[in-house]
Amino acid sequence: MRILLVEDEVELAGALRAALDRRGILADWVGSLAEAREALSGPLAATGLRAILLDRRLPDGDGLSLLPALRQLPEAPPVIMLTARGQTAERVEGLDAGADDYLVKPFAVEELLARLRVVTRRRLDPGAEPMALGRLQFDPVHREAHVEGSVLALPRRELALLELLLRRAGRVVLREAMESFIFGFDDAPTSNTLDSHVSRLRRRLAEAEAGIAIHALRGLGYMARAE
Amino acid sequence: MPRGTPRLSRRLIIGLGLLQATLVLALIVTEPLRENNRPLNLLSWLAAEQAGQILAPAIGRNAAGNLALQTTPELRDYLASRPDFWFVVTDGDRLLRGGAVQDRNKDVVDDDGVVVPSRMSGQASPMLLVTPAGRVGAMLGNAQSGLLEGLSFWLADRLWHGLVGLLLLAAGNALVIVLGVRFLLRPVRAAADAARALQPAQRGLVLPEDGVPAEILPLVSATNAALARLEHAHAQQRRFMANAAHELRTPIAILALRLDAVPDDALRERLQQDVRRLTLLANQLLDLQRLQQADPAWERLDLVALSREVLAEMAPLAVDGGHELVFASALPRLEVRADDQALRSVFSNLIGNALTHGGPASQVTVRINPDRSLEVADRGPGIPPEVRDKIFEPFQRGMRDGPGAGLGLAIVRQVLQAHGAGIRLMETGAGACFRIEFPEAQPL
Repeated sequence: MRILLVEDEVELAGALRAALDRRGILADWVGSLAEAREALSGPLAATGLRAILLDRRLPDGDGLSLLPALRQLPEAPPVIMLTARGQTAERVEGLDAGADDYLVKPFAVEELLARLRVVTRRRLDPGAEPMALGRLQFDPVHREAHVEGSVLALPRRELALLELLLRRAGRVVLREAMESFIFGFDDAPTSNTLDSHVSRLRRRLAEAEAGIAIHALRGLGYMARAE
Repeated sequence: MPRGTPRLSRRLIIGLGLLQATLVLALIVTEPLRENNRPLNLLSWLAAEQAGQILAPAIGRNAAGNLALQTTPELRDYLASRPDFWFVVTDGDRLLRGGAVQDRNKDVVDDDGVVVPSRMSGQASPMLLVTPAGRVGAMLGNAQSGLLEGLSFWLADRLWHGLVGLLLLAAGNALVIVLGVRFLLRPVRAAADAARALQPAQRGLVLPEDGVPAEILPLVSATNAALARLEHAHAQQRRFMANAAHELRTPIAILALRLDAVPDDALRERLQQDVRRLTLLANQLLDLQRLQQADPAWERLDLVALSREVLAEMAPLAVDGGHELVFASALPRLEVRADDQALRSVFSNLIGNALTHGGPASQVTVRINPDRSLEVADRGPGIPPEVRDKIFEPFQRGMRDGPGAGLGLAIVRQVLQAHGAGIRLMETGAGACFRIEFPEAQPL
């Protein structure tokens, strides 16, 4: 994956590029609006940029001023703004101006990667990429779960639950979200039907040795992680 | 007001009272000197005074309206001990005489109705007496007294009358002084009220100087000048803090990214934890600075959703440490006027503390109560009683040695105070429980 980093802080840019490089992401770096414009109008645009990381405070102006020109490109890459904390107005302005997401400095590399994954996937067919956790593979297109090559057969609702948990693997999925996702309007879910679905799913995953743990968080929801 | 603080009105009352008592005493003592129709013979004057005082109550009238002697025990004793004493009393019409026998045929009454006895045996003193029969003229002869007896009799009489006058004066003084002082010091009280209402985050701190008495004005003016200097210094310090926190973020951001290159997983994870602490601290300092501005950008937020989100964000950390997280809300929604990021930092600080100090495989609960309060509780060893009062002080680490300690809880409290909310440590008997009480949501 190749991205463009627009950031005037040299050391920050260097550290960020090194961190991305370790993840196989090539970040081209420019330090000003002028350089960014030049890069976008030049050969770089043709190489298929997957995303732009854009600092707001640049020596020659506001990073946002880049956005209108960017929208003119045939395949405009998604933009993640790098903002300062507490500048709520800045954040809102950025999203209004057409940025796809924002990240508050300082941030962890993992957080940046997660945002990058989300914005780049959004541009493709959302939800179509296969997901993997533990020893389990999930194919959203065919809605099939595999463990080490063999199909794991699951009832409809448990499959839906699994998909939801996998999409937010490592993070909590709130009960309300799960209930509205797996129950239609005609069902009247009682609070323990969700729990019984989850415990059945848990048992099946354990039987198949899928290597997935579903953690319950009382009053919050559930979280799936690799064991 | 602390005991022993001098009261202006009390001092004035005492001072003025002492002055008046001295004056009255001086008037009494110099009375014989100021009597103009008497020889300056203190002893005979005293004796006559005494005789007059004893005689006066005994002068009455009979049924016919004439002056009559109604002997009192004091007069009887006096007459018995002084056989030479005589008196003549007149109301202008009649004469009444008593004491040692006199030859009444040779009396002369002068134009003023004063009886001049025919044979003045010994000394005679004319005087006016106030008696039950009214004012009468009197001539007293051969009144005698020892110096001590005369003095004590006279002083007792005068002081008694003086005392009554003094008490009346003192009551008058007290009334005038208390009311006067209260009235005059009203502007001072207004200045004190203004001073009491001053908040450190307030701008343009100034005490009202209108109507403050000239004697006290220098104090109020000097206080105002001092406040202005303090405010200036405070603003400077705040700017410095904001800049420092702001400047810290770039190196922290670089550090966070460089840590990614640490090959040792366990070490990297530990260092990343440290960076998270550092980030939290810098962020909270910035939050605080932002909230202490004149007009922070408040939002109306649902505390239930917000605190649940923060708790959910901490879930991976909790599960890593083998801890359990519980969220319970008695309310479906709880609206507060708040700063989103600042409040999130506060919760992640408190929940992070609970995860760190809650002991192994602990349970951390976030609970929202119907009374607009939120609790973050763990089941750890709790906070030792000896540091309980101090945990909200800056750099008071106590048991909370770890993430969020040091400046953490001090900033948490300040951020909450900026929201009008209070935080305190609850006595639960098991684990630490922090309780935050939010005020009714004010208009934005």
